Amino acid sequence: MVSFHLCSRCAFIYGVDGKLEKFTREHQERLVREVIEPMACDGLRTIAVAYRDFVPGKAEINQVHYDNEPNWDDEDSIINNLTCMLIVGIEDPVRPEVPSSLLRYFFLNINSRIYINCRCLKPFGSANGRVSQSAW
Amino acid sequence: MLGFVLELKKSYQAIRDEQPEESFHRVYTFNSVRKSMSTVVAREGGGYRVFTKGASEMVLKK
Repeated sequence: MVSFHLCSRCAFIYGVDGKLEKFTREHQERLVREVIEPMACDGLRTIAVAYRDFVPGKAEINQVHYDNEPNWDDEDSIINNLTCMLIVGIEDPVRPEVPSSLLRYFFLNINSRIYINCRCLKPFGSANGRVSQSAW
Repeated sequence: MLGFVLELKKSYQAIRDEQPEESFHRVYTFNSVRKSMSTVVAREGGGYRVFTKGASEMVLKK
């Protein structure tokens, strides 16, 4: 969470009214602070969906022109300079079998820890493995 | 995401019929390091479109 977004696989994003914008580092940091972290703190896993076009003709600013077939084996280059379309928060609770497994490890004297990728998360007492916003 | 499609009153099957898996130009399968997966499909009128879906920190961070 802390080291988020030094540079980015997304270079563009659709902003207000579906307007295409450059996705600057400042913009990314603001998105993390104002959208992603609050969703994460509500126990939601955040998923992003992005795309990139390769076109034989004239390329728009967020597209790539190609003369020869792109090198699809070079995944790192292909999956880069993407245009972010959306970010969603989904519920992703601890699976039901986890608590009993932890208990079994406990009795076997195996130390277990659950690491949550957000400093502000704390398991919620009651409901089905959800987490709540709460400082450690 | 499939629920979202239904919510928009669209049919997953109609989209899938239009774009069957055999038509994918390339698939980068999910792996736990990237925490993302991508599919390359042909665009109408030439060219390709790469779709990527993944944990937001992986799509936003390099």
